[in-house]
Amino acid sequence: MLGKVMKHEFIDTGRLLWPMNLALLGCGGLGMLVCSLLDYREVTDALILIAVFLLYGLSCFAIMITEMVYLSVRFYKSMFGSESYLTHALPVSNKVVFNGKLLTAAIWNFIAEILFFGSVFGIGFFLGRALIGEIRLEEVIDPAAVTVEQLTDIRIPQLFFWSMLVLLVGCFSGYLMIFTSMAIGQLFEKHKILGAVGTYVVLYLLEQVISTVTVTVLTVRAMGSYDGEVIMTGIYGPMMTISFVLMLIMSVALYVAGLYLCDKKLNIT
Amino acid sequence: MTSLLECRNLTKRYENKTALSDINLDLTAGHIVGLLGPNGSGKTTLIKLINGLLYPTEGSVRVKGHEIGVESKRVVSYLPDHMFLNDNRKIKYILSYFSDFFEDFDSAKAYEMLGRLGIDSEAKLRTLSKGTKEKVHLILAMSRRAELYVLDEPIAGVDPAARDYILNTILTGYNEQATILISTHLITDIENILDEVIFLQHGQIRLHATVDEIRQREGKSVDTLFREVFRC
Repeated sequence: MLGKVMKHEFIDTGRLLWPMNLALLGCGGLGMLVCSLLDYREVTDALILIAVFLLYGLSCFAIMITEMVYLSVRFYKSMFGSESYLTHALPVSNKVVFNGKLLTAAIWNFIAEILFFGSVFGIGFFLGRALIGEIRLEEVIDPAAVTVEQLTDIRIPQLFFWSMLVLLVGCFSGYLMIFTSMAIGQLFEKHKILGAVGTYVVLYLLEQVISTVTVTVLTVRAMGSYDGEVIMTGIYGPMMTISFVLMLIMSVALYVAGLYLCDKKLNIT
Repeated sequence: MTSLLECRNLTKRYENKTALSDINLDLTAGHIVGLLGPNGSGKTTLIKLINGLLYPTEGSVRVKGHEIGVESKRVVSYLPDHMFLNDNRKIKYILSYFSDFFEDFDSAKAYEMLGRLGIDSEAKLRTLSKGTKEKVHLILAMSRRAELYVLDEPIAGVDPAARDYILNTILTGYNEQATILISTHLITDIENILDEVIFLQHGQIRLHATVDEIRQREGKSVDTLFREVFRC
């Protein structure tokens, strides 16, 4: 049944999200094209480049925000709004429905993130080539790898793996916070949407406070050392691990809460 | 006879209001049951509890012995009191959606009913009039070979001609082994098709009897009795 739920979620959301992701791809492609065609020594070309970068940044931001808002509204309408009367009449457990919607949102988020980071990397590559001529990737990557290793005590393949893992969990955690806030909002007798927004703000602030406290504690501990290099390694290495663990714990807690509320405390009034 | 629908000490309370209080109810297969009561008597709350849209504060609801969940939803066909479909969808897609999820959904029957009404399955729902949309919703509910049909106010807000069509569809469309629980306050229109009635008042069952019992015992029609019981 999870497959069926996801199939129809993709059909429903795909009508808007496929074109939006294509637009994201188009923005990246346009940025790369402009970077490879312009001559930056010319003032006009440099101005065009700045305008294109601004447009690219704003477009990516707008597309990703629109995707997030659209998926959140769809979740609300189909789980708690008018369409919920059909959703919850299906012979599918509420857990499966919740999982199907969460997985679909996370997959769309992952696609958008990959397209975004891919295009940033592509634009960086073409820009670098235009500014300093033909680039050999090793010449850029090797010194960067050494710097990263000095700062974090993590090798590049490990860092890539970590980044992908963080990206993947991040795709879930963002929507988990939204979906679970909506489920908590349903517990309010009145002003359910306002309750959901308020819950989201509180959860977001809580997450920020926990992260900030953790980083501060790590920094203070690392400051005990006099060696500059050790200070940096002492901060960045554990900070990445702890941030990831915190995100994972928060995601699991939100998942359990969201699933429980949608399954056991459903109140479509 | 074993119960198709079984409510035990069912209570639903909202923050400062009791919508249903200590309901005990058994419905067996093969009957058309009217769930009657004035506005705010708890009809929709009871129906939502049967369909898992609300969780009970106390007590339990069971359908064919199953708690409300996947197994109960397999055998219950639910028609809510308002539009619940995505307006941007073609009717054809909605039929395939129902086919995908409900094993008992009879697509051929749905297409045949749509054809009889001259509704184009390629049309998007938003292009249809309110009355036609209501008919599409009803066709979807009645095209299932369910064991319990739960219809919430299916004839409210439609003209008398459409009412006749809806009642006729309900009567000709359902499996006679099944039970229909139909909520309404338009009693005169449905009195003739009912086998049993349940009067709900202030969240409690005021009366549960067969239509024949009411006529013999009270010497009145259900409509007349309803007006007496719920006189303001």
